[in-house]
Amino acid sequence: MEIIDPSTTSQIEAACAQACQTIAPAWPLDRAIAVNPHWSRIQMPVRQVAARMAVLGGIAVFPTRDCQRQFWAEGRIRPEDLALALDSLPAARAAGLTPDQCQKVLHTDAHLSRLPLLIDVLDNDAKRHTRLSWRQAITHQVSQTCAAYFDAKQADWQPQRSQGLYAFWRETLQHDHGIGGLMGLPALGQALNALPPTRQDAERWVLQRLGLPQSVWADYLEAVLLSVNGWASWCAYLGWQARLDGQQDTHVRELLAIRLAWGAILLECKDDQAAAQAFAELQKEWSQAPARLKMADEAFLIDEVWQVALELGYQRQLAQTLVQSGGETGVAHDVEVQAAFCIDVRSEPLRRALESVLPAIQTIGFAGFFGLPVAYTPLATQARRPQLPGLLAPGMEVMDRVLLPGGANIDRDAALLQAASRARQDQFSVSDQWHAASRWPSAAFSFVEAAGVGYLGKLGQWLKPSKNARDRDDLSGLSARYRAICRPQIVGLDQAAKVSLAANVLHAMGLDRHLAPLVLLVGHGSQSRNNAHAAALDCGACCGQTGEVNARSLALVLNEAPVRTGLLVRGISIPETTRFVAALHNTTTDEIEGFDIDLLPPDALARWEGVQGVFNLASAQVRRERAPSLGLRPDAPPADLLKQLRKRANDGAQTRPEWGLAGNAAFVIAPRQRTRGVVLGGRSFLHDYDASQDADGSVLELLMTAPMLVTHWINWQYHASTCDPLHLGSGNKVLHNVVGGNVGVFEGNGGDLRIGLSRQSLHNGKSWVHEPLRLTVVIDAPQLAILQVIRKHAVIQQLLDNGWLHLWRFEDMALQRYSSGEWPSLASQHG
Amino acid sequence: MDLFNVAHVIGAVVPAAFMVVASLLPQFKSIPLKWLWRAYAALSYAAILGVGVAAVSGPGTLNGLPVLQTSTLGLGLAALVQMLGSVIGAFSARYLEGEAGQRRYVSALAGVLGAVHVLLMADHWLVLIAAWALVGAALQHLLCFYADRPFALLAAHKKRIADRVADALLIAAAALAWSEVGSGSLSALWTHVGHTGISITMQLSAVLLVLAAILRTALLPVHGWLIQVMEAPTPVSALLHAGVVNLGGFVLIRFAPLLEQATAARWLLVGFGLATAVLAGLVMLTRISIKVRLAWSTVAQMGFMVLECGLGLYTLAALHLVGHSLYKAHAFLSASMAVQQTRMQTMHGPSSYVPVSLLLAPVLAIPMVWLMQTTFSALAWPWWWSAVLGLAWAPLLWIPAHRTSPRALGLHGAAGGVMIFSLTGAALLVHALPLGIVDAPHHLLGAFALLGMAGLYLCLVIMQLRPESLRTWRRRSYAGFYVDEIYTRLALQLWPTRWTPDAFKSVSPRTASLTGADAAH
Repeated sequence: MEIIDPSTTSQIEAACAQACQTIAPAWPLDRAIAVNPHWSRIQMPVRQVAARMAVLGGIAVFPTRDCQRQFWAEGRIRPEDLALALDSLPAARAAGLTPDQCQKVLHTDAHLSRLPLLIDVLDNDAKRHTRLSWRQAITHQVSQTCAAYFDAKQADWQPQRSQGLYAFWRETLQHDHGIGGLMGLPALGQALNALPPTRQDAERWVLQRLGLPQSVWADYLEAVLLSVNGWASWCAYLGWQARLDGQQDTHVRELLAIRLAWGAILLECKDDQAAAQAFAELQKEWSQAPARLKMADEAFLIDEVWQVALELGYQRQLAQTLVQSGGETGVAHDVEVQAAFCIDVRSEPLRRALESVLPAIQTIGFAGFFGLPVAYTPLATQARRPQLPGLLAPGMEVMDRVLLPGGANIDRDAALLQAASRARQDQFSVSDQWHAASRWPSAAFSFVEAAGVGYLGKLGQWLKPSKNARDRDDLSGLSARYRAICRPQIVGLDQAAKVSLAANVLHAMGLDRHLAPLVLLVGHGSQSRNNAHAAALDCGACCGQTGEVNARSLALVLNEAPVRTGLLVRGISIPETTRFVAALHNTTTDEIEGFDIDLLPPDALARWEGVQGVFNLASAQVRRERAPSLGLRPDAPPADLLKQLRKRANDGAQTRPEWGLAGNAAFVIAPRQRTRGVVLGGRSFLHDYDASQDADGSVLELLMTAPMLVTHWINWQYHASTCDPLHLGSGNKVLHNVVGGNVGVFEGNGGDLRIGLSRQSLHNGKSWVHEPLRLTVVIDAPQLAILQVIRKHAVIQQLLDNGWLHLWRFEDMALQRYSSGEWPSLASQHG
Repeated sequence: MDLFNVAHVIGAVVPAAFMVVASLLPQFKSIPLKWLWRAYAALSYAAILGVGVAAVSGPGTLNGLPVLQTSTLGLGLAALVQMLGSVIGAFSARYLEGEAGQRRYVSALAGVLGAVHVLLMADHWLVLIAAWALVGAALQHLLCFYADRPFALLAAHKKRIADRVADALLIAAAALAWSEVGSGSLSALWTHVGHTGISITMQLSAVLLVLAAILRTALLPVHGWLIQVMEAPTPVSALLHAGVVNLGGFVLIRFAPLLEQATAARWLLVGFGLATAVLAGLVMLTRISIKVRLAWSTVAQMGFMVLECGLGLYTLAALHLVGHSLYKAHAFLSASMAVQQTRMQTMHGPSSYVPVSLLLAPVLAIPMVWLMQTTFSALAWPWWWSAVLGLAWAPLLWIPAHRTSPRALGLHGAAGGVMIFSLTGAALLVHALPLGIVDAPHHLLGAFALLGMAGLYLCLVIMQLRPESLRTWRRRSYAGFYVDEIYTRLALQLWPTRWTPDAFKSVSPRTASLTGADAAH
């Protein structure tokens, strides 16, 4: 390698860093939270990102034209929507686009081919049609190497990987005798001598040799990363976690170097003339990159128009619904029960049903981790896991502690806790011992002979799913005796810190005044079996876990007498009789399960039991509402419907246990009066917010910078997985193959790691269940307060100005929409 | 022909006949998909009933169908395979909801099962060869369920080549045997071999047969297609690994009268079987995805089953066939539980072992097994097999490094002892089932096998104690010892096929998605 001057080095460094920054993280399967895969590109307008993705990676950002054509044919998009969309996009007006042009285009293809990479232009030998393309083969090889490197839980025989990813890959390939033979390059072995020895060498080598203009370096590198986008996203996750811990992580850079080095290897297999030809072709193509990007940007204008038109149809209805509700004033009844739910779209139908069954209930929408920035460690294990939004790092610990109904007794409780821990470890140890019989090959051979017949019963279970309640994995290995008394509690906080935590959470939920005798903290969790993506159906605000731990540990704190005394000093008075009760909304069966009921005093217990009937009626109502989308009869007797859903929840052959957040399209940040009594169809996130109690706008700022971003991530994950299932969705569930125990899935044998949602999560086999709409956020707050938050946070400004979400606000009984700092009335738009 | 005989013939023929009906039903496009699945389920249950009737009316010849014969083992396997067929059908009906091509799927699934039933009753070379070829042909449709996936096509191609070669080998084996016996009947073959012993011709015939079985059982080096069928829906893997690939074991057990005397063939079986069991077992430990791990596990298990056939331990091979089927079918169907299981495993904590326990474990386990065996059933298997079992159960006695308090050790020892006694007891118990199979253990081969299994155990121990010394071996294992690459390359050169998608089309975002509109029907 030749010596290069320092300024080039720093330019190379900058280009690599820039490319690596564009990849959004993908969380592991057991903590699967939704992420906008374009999150690191939001500083650009959506259309520009669409152009870049198409040209650099062959990735679609807008809904496909086939899809839009169908919407148009079905009348889902009406002519007036299209006209309005054309009118509302300045670029469309400037270009003088007509509805006719837009319709015609739906029958055509944008004809935007991806810019080639070095490995593509080198893939030109005569026999290339008889084998995989080099792009596919390299993706496969890199993917298998990454899997071996990052897997910590699947393989029983682990490699040594102390030297880092790049060195690991280099060593793997140098000893490989497979891929060269398979791909018809027997000389590959010698070419491997050309492997750049370090990551830096690989980066320098490629950017020096390719002879591309410096202005496209970062773009070229981004395109390279997009060819292994799945693993790049995994590396970005590691980087994200490292940053939360205040550290650095270079895995994405190493992955990039690996992909670049593959170019060097292939080049080595060609003669000089072929190499020169390849360089010339590449330079020619990439010298047109700016023009190609501009052309794509223009071509996608029409797709953007259709995207807006699709949204307008939904927004028209949303606006009508919200305005009609007319901000129903005040609750006429004394509030007997307050119930705080997660903002999740699946809470909306249940809240609506509860309110219709029991007018004296007040429901509240709040992020499902209930403001507790905690990590939870199940009893006697090291399996610590975060229980808060992925944007944050945990700041408190929750652990299982023994608590008996009679009250605390330090010695007895400690002894019980120790006994429970020991019993659990014994149980784990014995089960590991038994597991050894099927884990090691020599044992497994004879194990199936002796014990294989025992699996007959297990096989029978596939015939008829049970109606069991949710598995309680966190309690596995504990006997019923200990299960009943081990409860997750916040540990390591002194009294003052607890009071302060309680005060903040109560204030944020609007529960620092007018408390009802029974206050429910309702987290949510899904129930499914044999589902690698189960965590994606759980609570995103709890980092892909159920909300149980957060709800329970918060309820315990709020029921503590000393905490209440402390709160009184801070001006928050909780009536003596008020009890907080943690509960869980099972989003598959729509049942509500209570926790720690045995700790309640008699009067509170009576109240809890009193509302069970309400829960049952409301749950049945929600199940009826959901039934058609699950292919069930809504008019079936309620008990039957419940039975069917429970079976569905336990059915390991069911690829669509529930629809999760499919259909999500709006986020309302307003007092419940604004939405109470109206049907939002399970498509809206709802967060309670009372501007009159937020003089300094701090709560609003929090809502717009945390829950709003989380909902945006969810919304765009669904959008992206629908618009490009191949690159941004995880593909077909029936082919899924779990990698590394929790890292992600392959579709089939291998290929890139797959990120995003599966096809079955979005599509019912006949049509898409999720409509790819950008989120419409509706806030009930003064113009100025909202503008202040926008101005203060560049990220919010970018999301709005670059068209990643829509923002509306209530103005009395009407709605206004945000448009580059202005607030035109919505009525004028929707006619 | 008395009523009993009629019942037997009907019971024996019903499973295959019903599966043929189920396989043809999808041709009637007017039958809605839902009813198609129901019809399949009903026919499948009825087929199990048929097997039951045939079993009650006793295994034996079928009047009027001289080329077929039922046997205890054959009926047992018929029941097993059809039960798997029912479970896999019920699973698939829900699992594949919304997928295109379900009619094709029902048809192929029933076709495979029907052909398997015929194979299980074959008493004639031609029936055997044709039925086995039919199993493969029907299976092709399942392997290529997603015909746009290149690796699915490649795996199917590799399977097809192995099948055709196996067909040729079987035909040659049949021709040799036929010319010597003067009949294609297998019963006649047993009688002939029993009376006159084994000639060179028959030795050769046995070798060819054994090679065909090795090809069909996906032993190294022709295992690749079995590993790569992850490109078909999960239940296809379950069917394949549990009910198809192990048919080679059945055929070998069926040919026991011949193999008993065919020394060269037995050495082949032991050689291929042992090498596959050990190598594939090691590869399995390096796999990073659940389904591929399961697939390599099957390859290793098939190696072990073939090894048992070569050793003359036919009863054990039959038990292995049944046990593995049930175990692997469940393991595949529940493959997506890997995430939940990993989570639970994380709660258990990492496992490392007290070094000395790794070496002491077999010293304790082998006498335990031997004691059990000599006490209860001295004739079940030879001494060297007790040693193999002892090595197998030894990991149950490995002591976790973080559990060395006297209390924990006591618990561990007691639990390990109970497990070893129960597993050995279970092995003895199932071994006593009247399967109508006569074992013919070969002691020299047995000692050889014991050596191989001891080598495997040693590998596991070194893996725990000094992983760095096996670095090269791990790398090779992760690469599957490069065996499949060589086979694939060779296969594609000798028998080219078009398996890649049309070059690679310029991937346009406009057409990349919306693959769903055509689904369901």
